[in-house]
Amino acid sequence: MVARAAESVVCIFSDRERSSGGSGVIISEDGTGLTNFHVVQPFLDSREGFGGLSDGKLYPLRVLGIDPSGDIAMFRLSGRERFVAAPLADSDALHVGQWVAAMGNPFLVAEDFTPTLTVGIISGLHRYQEGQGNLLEYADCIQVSTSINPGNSGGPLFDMDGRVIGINGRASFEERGRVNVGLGYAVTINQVRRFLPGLRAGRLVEHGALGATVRGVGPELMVDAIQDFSAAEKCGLALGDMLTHVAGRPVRTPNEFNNVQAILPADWPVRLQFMRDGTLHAITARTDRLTTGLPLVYLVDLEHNHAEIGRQLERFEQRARIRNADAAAASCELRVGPSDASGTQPIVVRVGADADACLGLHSLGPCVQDASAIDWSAEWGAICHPLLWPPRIELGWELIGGDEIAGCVASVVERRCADGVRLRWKFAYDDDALLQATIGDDQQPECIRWTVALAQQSFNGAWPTAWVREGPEGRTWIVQVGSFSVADAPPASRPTNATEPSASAPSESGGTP
Amino acid sequence: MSSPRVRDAFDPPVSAGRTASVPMVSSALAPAGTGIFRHGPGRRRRFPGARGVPFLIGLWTCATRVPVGADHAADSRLETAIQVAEQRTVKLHGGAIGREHGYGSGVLVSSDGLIVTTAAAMLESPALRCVLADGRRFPAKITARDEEHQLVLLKIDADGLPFFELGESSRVLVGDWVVAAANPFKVAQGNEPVSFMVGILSGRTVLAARRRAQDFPYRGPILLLDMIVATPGSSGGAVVDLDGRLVGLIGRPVIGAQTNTWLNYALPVEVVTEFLRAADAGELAQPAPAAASRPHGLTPEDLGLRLFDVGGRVRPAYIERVRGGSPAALAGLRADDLVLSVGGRATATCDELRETVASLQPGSTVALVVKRGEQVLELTLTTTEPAQ
Repeated sequence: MVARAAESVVCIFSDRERSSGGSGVIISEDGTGLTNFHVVQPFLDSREGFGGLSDGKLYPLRVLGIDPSGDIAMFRLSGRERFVAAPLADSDALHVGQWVAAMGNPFLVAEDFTPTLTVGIISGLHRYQEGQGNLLEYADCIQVSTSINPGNSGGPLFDMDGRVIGINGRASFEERGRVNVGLGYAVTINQVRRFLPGLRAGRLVEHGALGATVRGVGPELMVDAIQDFSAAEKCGLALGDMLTHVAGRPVRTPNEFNNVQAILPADWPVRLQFMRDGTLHAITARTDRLTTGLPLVYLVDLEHNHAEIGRQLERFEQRARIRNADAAAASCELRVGPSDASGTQPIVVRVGADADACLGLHSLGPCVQDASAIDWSAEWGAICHPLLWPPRIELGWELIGGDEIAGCVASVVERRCADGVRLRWKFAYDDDALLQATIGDDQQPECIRWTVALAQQSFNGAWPTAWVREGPEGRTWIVQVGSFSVADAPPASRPTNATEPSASAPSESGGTP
Repeated sequence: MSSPRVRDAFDPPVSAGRTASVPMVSSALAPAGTGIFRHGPGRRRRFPGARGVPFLIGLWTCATRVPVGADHAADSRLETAIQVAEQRTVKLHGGAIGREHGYGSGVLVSSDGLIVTTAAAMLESPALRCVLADGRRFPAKITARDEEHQLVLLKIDADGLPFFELGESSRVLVGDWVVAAANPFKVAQGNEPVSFMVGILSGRTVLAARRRAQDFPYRGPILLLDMIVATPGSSGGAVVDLDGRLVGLIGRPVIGAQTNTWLNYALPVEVVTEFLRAADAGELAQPAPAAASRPHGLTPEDLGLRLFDVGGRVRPAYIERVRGGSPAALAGLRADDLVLSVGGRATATCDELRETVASLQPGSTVALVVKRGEQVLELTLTTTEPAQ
C-alpha cells in the first residue's frame, strides 16, 4: 500500500532552486492533483511550478483552479503519459481512533522526492479552525495525531487502504514553535469533492453561505436571524424554524451548522429540513457567494478550459458508447406525457449534423412559452446535438464549475449562443454520466430543465432514456427517449473518431440497452 | 501556567530514548532476554492498528521488525478505550491571565461530580466552569489541593456521572499502548469529543522539577509517554490503557533544562489515589492557596506582602495586598506599589524580589524604592522573625 501510495505523492516546489514548497497528491491519471492554496500561492503569478515524484524526477506543474477559502488548489503535472493516481475515500465514514497515514515532504527533506510517511490516529472529527476572514478556513476538518510539519502542507492523509481521506494543511503550533505538537488538521476529501469541477475548470472557486444564523434552544436549533435577499430568505426559511438537517447531515449545535455551511461551494443546492408548526418541512436553497476578499484577479485560462470541455464530451461519448461521427442526421422518437396524468404522445425528432443546435430555439423566446407551445424538437435537438456530433469548442463555450444533482457532483458545461440562449450540460464528475441539461437565457439561465430520471436508468454506459422536463409553465413532463436511427450516412463527410473503428454499420448512434 | 524547568534528576536520553523504540520491534520476534523488555518474552505485544498498519511500518524501514497480531479485536479495543475515556474526561474553562491560557482538562473520579486536575492559574477564576462529554456545563469549585503533587480536586453539582475507577499503573508495562484524552488548544467545545492521542508507555522515572529559586514541589515517579501530551490545555487529562482504565494523569507542562524541550509525561494513577485519600482524610491544606514548601530565608509573605505573581513570563514586582500590622504595612507599603529595589538591589520581577527578600536577615533594616502612581518613594522596612 505504501509503495503504491508513495507514487501518487508530489513534492511541490515553486522553482528549480526549491526555495519554497509543500506537498500534493495526484488524483487522476492525467496528472491532475490536489494541494493547499497556501502552497501554490507564492507562484500564482506564473502559475508554473515543479512537482517531484518518487521516481526521482521533477515534472513541470501548472496550477489549475484555486479555493482560497478552503485552502485547496488543483494542479496538473505534465511530462508523462500516465501518472499514478491515489483513489479517494468517503471521509464521512471515518471514526475517531482510526489509524491514518500522512505522506509528504516535511521540512523539504526529500532530496530524491520520496515522500516521508508518518502514522497516527484520528484524534477528532468535525473540528473547526478559524481562518483569516474568509481565507484558509478549516471547517469540519479532521484532527490527527499523525505528525504534520511545515512542508507536509497539501499532502495526502491516507486511510490504511491507501485511499485519500483528506489534504493535510494545518497544525496547532501556539507557544510551541513551528513544529508538530500532536495536533494536525486535514481538509476532508468530501469537502474537496464538491469543488472538484470548478477546480478542474481552472477557476477561482468560492464558498457559499445561507445568510441565516441559528441559536441553540435546548437540544434544538432555531433560526434566529435571516439576512435580507439571502439564500435563506429566497428559499422561504422563516425565523423560528427549527433546523434538523442541512445537506443531509443532522445539525444540533450552532457549531455543527457552521461546519456544514462552511464546506459548501457558492451557488450550490442545499437541502434544509426543519420543523415548523409541528410538521417537518424540506426545501432546497442555493447558497450565496462569499467572496474571498483576496486582492487577486484570477482569470480563467480559456484554452485549458476548452480543452477540458473537449475531454469531458469525449469521456461522455466513450461512456455512452456513442458512435456518432459518420451520421449526417439522426432521428428518434420521444414519448411525452405530463407527470400528473396518464397518456403519452409520440413525437419524432430529427437532428441534423449541420444544423446549429441553437437556431432551433430562436422561436422559443425562452421562459415565456406556455405549455402547449413546447417545441420538443427544438429543445431535444439543442440538447443532444453536441453530444452526437462533437462541436468545435470556441468562444461561447465554457466549463463554468460544479453543481449537485440528486446527490451527485456534476461538471457544468455551458454554451452561450449568439442570441443570448444559454445551454448547459451537467455531467457526473465521478463517472461522466449525463445528469441534466438546461435551456435558458441571461436572466434565467436554467429556465427549462431536462433531468435524467436516475431511478429509471441502469447506468452501465448508455444514453439516458428516461427524462423529466420542468419548464417555466410549472408543469412537469415525463419523456421517454427511443433509439436514434440514422437517416443517411454520407461517408467521410464528418471527421472520424480516431479511437472508434468505423467499419461497422452505423445503424445506431446512441444505443439504448 | 508558569513552566517549571527540569534539572539534573531527569535524564531523558537514557530513560526515554532507549525504551521509545520498543514498539518497532516485535516482542514475538525479539530474542528472549534482550533486556529491553521488562515484561519478559512470553508476552505478546498487540498492535491496536487497522489491518494495514504493521505492513505499513514494515515497509517504512525495512530493517525494523514490527509487532504481529494486529487484528480487528485490537482495533476495537483502541476504540473502546477512546469511548470510555471520552465519557470520563471533562473540559475546564477558567480565567485567562496574560499569557496563561484559560482552559484545561480533568478526569471524573466519582459519580457525584468529583474531578481531579492539575494545578493551574486558570482554576483560581471564580467563574470556573466544567463541560461534560455530553455538553452539559457546570460551575466547579475547588474542594482540595495538594501543592506537593500539584493536584487539585474540583466538585460539580451533578449526579449519576460515568467516572474512572482508580487502579494501578503498574499493570501497564513499558512498551504497552496507552491512549490520552484531553482538550489541547480547547479544540473541542460543548459536546464535541475531546482529542485523543495514541502512543506507548516509554519508561518510568523520577521527576525532580524546580522552578527558579523555589523548589518545584513535585518529586516522584512519573510515566514517560511516547506521544505528544505536553500541549496547552492537556494537563489534567486522562491516560488510559487499552481497556479504558485510568493509568495516569497528564502532568503540568515541564521543560527540560538541557534540551529545552517539553516533557511528555503523566503522573501515575497511584498519586491520584493517594491525593484523594489524603483529601478525604482532611490531611490536606484547605482551599486557600497554601504556601509552597518553605525555601530558605524570608519570603515576601513573611513581610506581609502578597505579590501579583501571575501572568506572563516577565512579572514585575507589583504588590497585590499588604497584611495589616505586618512589617510591610509598618514600612508604608500599599497595594499596587511596584517594588523597584530592595537594599539597593534592583527587583525587576517577582522572582528577583523573592530572591532578594530570601537573602535578608530577620530583624534587619533595609531601604526600599517603590513606584506608586507617578511617584517614586523611598521607604524603610524592618524585618521580623517569620511566624511559625
